[in-house]
Amino acid sequence: MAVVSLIGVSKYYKVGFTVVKALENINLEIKENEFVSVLGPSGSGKTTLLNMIGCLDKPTKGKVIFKGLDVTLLNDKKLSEFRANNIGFVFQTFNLLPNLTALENVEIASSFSNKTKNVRERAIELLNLVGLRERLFHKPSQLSGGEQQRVAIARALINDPEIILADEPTGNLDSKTAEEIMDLFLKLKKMGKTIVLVTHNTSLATKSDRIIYIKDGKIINETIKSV
Amino acid sequence: MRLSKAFKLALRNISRNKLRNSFVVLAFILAVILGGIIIGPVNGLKSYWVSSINEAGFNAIVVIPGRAELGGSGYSPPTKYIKVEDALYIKNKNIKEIVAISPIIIVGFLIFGQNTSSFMAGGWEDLLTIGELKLHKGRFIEERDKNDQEINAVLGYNVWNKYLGGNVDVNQKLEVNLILRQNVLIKTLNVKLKIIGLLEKRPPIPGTNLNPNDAIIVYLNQALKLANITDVNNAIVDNIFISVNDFNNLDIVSQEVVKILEERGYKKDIDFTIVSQKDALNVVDRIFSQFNSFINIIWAVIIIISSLSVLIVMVITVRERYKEIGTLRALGAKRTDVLILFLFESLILSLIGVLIGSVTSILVIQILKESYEFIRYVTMEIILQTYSIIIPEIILASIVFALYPSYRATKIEPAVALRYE
Repeated sequence: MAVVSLIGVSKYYKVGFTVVKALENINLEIKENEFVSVLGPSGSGKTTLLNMIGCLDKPTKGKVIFKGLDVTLLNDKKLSEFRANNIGFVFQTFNLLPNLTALENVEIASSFSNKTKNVRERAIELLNLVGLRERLFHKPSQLSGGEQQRVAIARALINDPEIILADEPTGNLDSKTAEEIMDLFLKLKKMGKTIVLVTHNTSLATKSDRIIYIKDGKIINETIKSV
Repeated sequence: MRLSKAFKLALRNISRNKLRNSFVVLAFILAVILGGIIIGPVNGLKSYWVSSINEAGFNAIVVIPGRAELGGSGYSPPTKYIKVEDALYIKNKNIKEIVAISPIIIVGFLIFGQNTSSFMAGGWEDLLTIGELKLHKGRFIEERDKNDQEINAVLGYNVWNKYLGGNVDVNQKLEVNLILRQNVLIKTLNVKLKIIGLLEKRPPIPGTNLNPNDAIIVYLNQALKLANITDVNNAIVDNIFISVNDFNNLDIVSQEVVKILEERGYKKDIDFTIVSQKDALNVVDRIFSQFNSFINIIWAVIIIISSLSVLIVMVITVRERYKEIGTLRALGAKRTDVLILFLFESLILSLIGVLIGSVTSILVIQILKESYEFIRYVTMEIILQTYSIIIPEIILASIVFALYPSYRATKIEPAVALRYE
């Protein structure tokens, strides 16, 4: 069953007098418990694609259907609620709130969702899952890059989202740590999570179920891992 | 996002830029201190004036010869002087609202030492009621005193307690040098008085320069005898005091007295002026309403300057936390969550400033009380009363000024903010 479907999605930006076509007629379906990697050169539209799936941006043309719901029709408030309850984000630069501890950074995401019960227990459990049991009360500045990204992953999981969207999550990490983070995503996939990963790293992408190649805003190729 | 969570998050956020935020706090501290120092004493002074006028319990009107401007500097002498017989005439009209009436003539002054001067006033027995004077000991002047061979005197509180050192008693004889008030000639008269009563302390009578605490009161006829005036009825009075049964009847009686005096050939505001407690309160109101509008302008400037610091700091903060706003929005924060978060941050800063400023302001006022007499009237009640006005104004202003940057923060598109470096 498809978690999210993009139907004829295009995204255009007006820069001065020219129109930049960031995405052009994208048709894509991401199935439940699928691990999809998006590969492509800089400026190819990977992040824009992720923003469309993540309801952070609305397409100029086309529809984004999330479990049967056309999210392009939702207003800003509804879209925010939808993001809080259904989507987990992981960013390249971790984007943790610097004045909060690891635990608080995980908990904060639940403030916007309707999953407000046993937040602390769940946050501790998730930090335990990502291997940060000893780092609950450390602030981001006291954590390594890899540890910060683990906190970000735990944060993405706190609302038990339908899909986890990771935008170059290993881009700021050394290769060893990048491997560890990738293993963590694979672990999540085994736990039944649906993951979309945007990356430059081809070797990491090969670990996913499907690789989508994107160039100039268009899907140019797709590789499905043979089981 | 629950408000309590937003408040907690805002509290954590303001600890990030301690130096910058401390400038905002400092601006609010200064605003409260300045507000307390400027507005507090003004309110204190007004409250002191009003309460002393009311405390004086002076439900009376005063007829002053000539044209006198209460609260102003203007005075023009009359063309026709009011006399004792006019007071007598008003008395005999038996106006039901009038409970007591007495002319008053200051026959001279007495000097007991440096800065300790007293005056001798002649009047009728009704002065006791009019001035709400209370006897500490003995009795007040009575009509029978007018023909007494001895000059029976009632001493004001300062006279017997301070100037004479408290070593006097009723029935005791007192020899004083009276400087007679007669035209341009200064004549000193050695007078032997018989003390018949000692007065309790009381506040000065509003609308006049008379301080009963400094008075030596004798019956009118005896006072005039000292000044060699035998035609009592024709003697020129300094004032006529008329006590009225109710504060609300002051205007009726004033109009009645004006009518009587005009019938007797006096012109209002030329030959006489009528002043009442109401007038005194009106003058206080008039002076302070002008003063207050001036102070309000200064206060508005202070609030604007302190609130501008919030505006500037919040604009910088929003710009600096562009990416963070994007992250929160990506995590599901609504525009209102972002708005509330930034408004809370400015609210917390202003609250900290107000709290520290209030305490500091009280301390500063206490210190200033040592040097400036007028600040002594600023009681804790007045300080709290002042704060109850200025603190909500400061907080409201800080929120209003934080609205713009906070609103700007809500307009940030998450997809754009997340790309921001």
